[in-house]
Amino acid sequence: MSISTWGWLVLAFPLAGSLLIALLYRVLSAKAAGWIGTLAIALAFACSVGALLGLLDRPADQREIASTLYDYAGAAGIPFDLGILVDPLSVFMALVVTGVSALIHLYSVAYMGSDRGYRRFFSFLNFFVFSMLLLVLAGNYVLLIVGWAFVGFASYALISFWYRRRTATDAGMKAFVINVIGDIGLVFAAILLIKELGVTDYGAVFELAPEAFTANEWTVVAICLLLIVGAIAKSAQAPLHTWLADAMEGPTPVSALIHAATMVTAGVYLIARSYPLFDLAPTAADVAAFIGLFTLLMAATIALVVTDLKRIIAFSTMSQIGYMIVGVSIGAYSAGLFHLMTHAFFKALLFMAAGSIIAAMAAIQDIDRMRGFRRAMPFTCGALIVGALALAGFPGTSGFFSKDEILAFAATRGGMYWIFAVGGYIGAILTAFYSFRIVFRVVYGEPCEEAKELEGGHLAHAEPVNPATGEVEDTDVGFPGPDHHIAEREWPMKVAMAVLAFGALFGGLIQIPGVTHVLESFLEPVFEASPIAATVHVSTTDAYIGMAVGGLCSLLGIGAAFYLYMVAPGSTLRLRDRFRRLHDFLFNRWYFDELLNALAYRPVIACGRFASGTFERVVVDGIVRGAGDGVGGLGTVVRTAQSGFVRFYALLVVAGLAGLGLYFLLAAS
Amino acid sequence: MIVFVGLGVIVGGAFTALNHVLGPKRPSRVKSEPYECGLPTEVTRTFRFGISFYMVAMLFILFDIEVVFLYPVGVLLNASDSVFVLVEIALFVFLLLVGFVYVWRRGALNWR
Amino acid sequence: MIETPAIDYGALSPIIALVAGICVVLLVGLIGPRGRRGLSSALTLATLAAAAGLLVWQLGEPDADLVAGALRSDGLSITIGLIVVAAAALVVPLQLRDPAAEEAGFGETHTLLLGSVLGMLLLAEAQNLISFFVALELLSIPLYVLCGSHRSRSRSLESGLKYLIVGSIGSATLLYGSAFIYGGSGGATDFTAIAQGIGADLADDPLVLIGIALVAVGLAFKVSIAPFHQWTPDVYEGAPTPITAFMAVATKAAAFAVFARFFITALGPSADQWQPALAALAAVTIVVGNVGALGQDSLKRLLGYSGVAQAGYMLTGLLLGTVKGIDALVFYLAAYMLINMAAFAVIAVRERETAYGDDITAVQGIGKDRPALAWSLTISMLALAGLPGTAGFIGKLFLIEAAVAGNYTWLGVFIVVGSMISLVYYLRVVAAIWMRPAPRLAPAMAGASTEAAGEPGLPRRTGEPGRTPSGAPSGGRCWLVLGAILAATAATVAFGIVPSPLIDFSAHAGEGLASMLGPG
Repeated sequence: MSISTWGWLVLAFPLAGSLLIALLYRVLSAKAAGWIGTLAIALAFACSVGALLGLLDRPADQREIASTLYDYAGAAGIPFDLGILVDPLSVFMALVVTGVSALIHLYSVAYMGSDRGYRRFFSFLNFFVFSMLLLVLAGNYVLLIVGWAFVGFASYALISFWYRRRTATDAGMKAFVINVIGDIGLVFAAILLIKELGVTDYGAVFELAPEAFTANEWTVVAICLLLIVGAIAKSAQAPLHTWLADAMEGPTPVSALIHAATMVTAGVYLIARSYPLFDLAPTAADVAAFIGLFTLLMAATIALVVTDLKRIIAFSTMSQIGYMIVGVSIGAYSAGLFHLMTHAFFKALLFMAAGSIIAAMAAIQDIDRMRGFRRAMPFTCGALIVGALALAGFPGTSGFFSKDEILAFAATRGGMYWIFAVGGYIGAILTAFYSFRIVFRVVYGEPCEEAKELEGGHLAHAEPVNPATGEVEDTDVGFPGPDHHIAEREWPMKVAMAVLAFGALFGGLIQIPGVTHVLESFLEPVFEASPIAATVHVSTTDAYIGMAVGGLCSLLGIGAAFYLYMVAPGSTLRLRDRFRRLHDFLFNRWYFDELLNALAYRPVIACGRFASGTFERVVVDGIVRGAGDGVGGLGTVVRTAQSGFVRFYALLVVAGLAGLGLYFLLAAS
Repeated sequence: MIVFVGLGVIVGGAFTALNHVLGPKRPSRVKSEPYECGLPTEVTRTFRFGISFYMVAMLFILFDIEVVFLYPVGVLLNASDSVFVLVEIALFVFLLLVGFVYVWRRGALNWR
Repeated sequence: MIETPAIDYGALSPIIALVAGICVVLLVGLIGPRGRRGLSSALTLATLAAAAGLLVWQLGEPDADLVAGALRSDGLSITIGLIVVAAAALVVPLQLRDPAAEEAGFGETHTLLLGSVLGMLLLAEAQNLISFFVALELLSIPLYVLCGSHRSRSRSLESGLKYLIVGSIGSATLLYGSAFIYGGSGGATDFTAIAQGIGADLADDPLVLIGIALVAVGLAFKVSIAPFHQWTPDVYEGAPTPITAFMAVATKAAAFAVFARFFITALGPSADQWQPALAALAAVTIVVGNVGALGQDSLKRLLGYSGVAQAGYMLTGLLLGTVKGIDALVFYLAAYMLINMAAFAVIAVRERETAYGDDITAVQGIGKDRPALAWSLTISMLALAGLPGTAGFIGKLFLIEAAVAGNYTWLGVFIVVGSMISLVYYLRVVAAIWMRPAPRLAPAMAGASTEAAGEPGLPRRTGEPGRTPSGAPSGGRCWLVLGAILAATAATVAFGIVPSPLIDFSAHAGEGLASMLGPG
């Protein structure tokens, strides 16, 4: 089969799976739906591998295959066809997306076992994977936006999956609104591209752009800044990051798939994909890099104090994506994407382990309540520790190699870019600290009640309550259902976690400085045109110095966590009391929610209220009062129609007419 | 142009205002009643009027006017000597007829 | 002496078919008991089918001047005519169980509907000021009556009366404006003659400028462009739902057709003078429509405001004065017809099944019991918002692209922002369908009348179920209606995935315009 056929099949399977489950939901048994979903993604993964093998067969300079299914709207003169682009970058992304998704589907088959919305869940999940693959494989900016919008919609549907939870629907809405802001940015970028270049195909855009734009010309900077708006909204970077923590209201597999491994990395992909534009607009690239650095540090500090298990991991996700954004913005494209891949492994693993623990805690997510699971759940705890090691960048694990590659590049590029190296290493210390904060508090220590019960072979059971508000859940819409599922007892969960743990531990070995460079040479044809990548080369010595520093940072963070939580337990409380102000500041997430509320949300609501006050009150009140007055005879009708609001209409109409007339008169004189 | 409009507004406004200020105001009941074709403006509960009368009168006016149209057409038709015009008139009359049949069969002409 | 005017009977044939159909349907309505539902509906559909067939036949024919140049049949008029006829054909099955049609009699209702369609076809073909105005009135007067045709519901009567008053103001404004233009152009009524009469530079011709402003206002009333839109939500809410559906779609299509024809043929040379004004109107309309829809609980009001916003988008396509703009406009109208018909039809069905009228409560939780309706409404809402994969998306894309190409990028930006705002209220409906439980008190299936919803004193806005009076015509499921809904939805999705047939269709309109402008 040709490579483009593989590419189309990658898209076709998840879509077919989603539609099949949606259409047959009355016929299918719950388990069957889950397995169909998993199978669809597994097939998509197989097809991605097919595409990969096809690409490897070709010489390096012919690994860019564009394929058009049909001309979508060419008749209308819109430069947009339904086409995909299969090149190393998109195949790499497709592999990561389908691979991790397949494992998470497998995990969900067991984890969501007693959820009433099982079929709906898998239909949505498959649809999400389809949208994500569309985003990744799209051959032009318009189709990218289509995938982008679909992904946002799927994310909204899955965050609000337990729709009887007020907090879940609110979180879904928030995520959607912020993502729409990003969508607007992207759409404007596409409009500008069409206006300036008249094309949207990647190849054509990148070919025309250097001729049409001079470096740092305002149009190209504007296009890139708009792309950045889209990227940071999707990838949860400051200041549009607030939705991601709330998005943890969704089921844990959703958090693992969408809000850790795949969707949130779309911004990184977008910047990497558009690198020829960013090369023309270095200012915009620097802006993106600083946003990444800021988010990296901010989210890491917040993760130090948050007590909700899933939200700690969520802030960690923001922080890690900050690394990737820094990477792709300063020109370390393959390093940034390498980190994207390893992060997908260990973050999905962490979420899976967290899901298993939360299930054992009967849906309690507060780490203050968790303690000493090491004997009760050896497998889960092992997975958690592996994930935390990789996240902390412990020497030898995948996160160690990928993070250091970005920072070493920043240091080598020198000048201003030293800031990113220094900030990155500080972030690494924080990362190591908070990831082992989870480990030491959850795995070690005196077992808590639930852990003890589990050691006795009995899974804790509790009245399901909303962890955020304490309200009793409506299990009818299947808040994880009456039963909980832990990895120790479900082989699909175990398999998924074992595979990911393998990836998290050894995934870094494909890119050992001076030894292997599998990913870099695979992605090279995509990024070879970049002037930065061509001039900046990290020497092996520098890379090893960087790795030494990184390893030191990691050990420092882990050691600090060990001291505070294991050697001198209780010292954190004293620290908290000592620095109460700082703690509050961090615990309230730097007050970003409040800031956005005051700056954006309230004014908009106020405008809306004002508008509805002026436009609506007169009219609606008029009707209600008028209709309420009489018994409904024609007389009333006439009175109502003639008094009050028709006069109000007339006023506006006359005003409009006068305005229009005045305009023409002014135009005349 | 603007000057002209401005002048118009000022003069017009001035005259209205003057009317308002200088005009004699002797409101009486009769004067303040709305005028409506000689009908009593306040319809009392006991006042009866035949809806059929209005209906028939309205239909009469409708068809009467249409028929009046036929006179000039007839004169023209005489002069024009054209089949097209003849068909046109026939069509017009036919459509009128359809309307008439409808009105008649729906019972709008029945005196109740 | 009377000369026989040049009449192209072939091009006139859709009109002739409609007139004949009107006579037949009117008279058939007299036979037998009141409301010969089946026969009258079948004859109406047959008439519409005949008109549609003749229109399709004409689509391939060269453009033609009809009746001494009073009318013109070209790509624009035929495409718009087909949209109008299709909308009417989708309304007819919806009327079958409609209490309003039941009450007013099917013969009358369908006659009025066909009369309005006739007016719309003529309006789309109008080529001089006289036929323009006559067609506009022929379109409007049956609609005034139809709006008030649910006589036992005061809200319907109110709607009819309000539409009559506001519509008359619009017509009067239009007529006044036409008079100015007639005078300013040296006594020309024909559109092309007007173009020659007034020339390109209107800077020192305030008479014509005032005329243009007045005509624009009159048309703005008809297509509900802010600030002349205030009647829209009220009338939409009060009118019987099938009529609302027809009004929302067909009136807009026909009025936009003549809007385009008049402004581009007659006033084309002076485009520079009116373009900015219309652009400002379009921007205001997009904002007002989208903001107004935000807090609506009544689905019909919501769609009313949404219709205002859509009118703003469409006006963008019109004012560009380019072939692409007109293509985009007609494409958008066609897509809008499909989407809106499906949405209104679902509302109508739910109105008859529940006691909640058109309140958003009526569609709560239908995802579970009525998946077909739920999916149709969901897709319609998403399509109106412009979600990719639906005809609404490509329609918006087309308009934006046309705006960018026509140097009105900022209006494209308005369309984007407007669509994003609109997501809020469309998704509210979607959320109600799928994520809210069905209202506690089980709605009485049969007998729960729409009357209850319209009667005053009923706390419908609070979402409380109304009392369930008896004696109203029963709802029940009607496969014909469901079929119409599903067909429209399927078309929405199909044209979203493979839009080229609809694009080719709308391209006829642009060709018509190009030929009207001539080589210049």
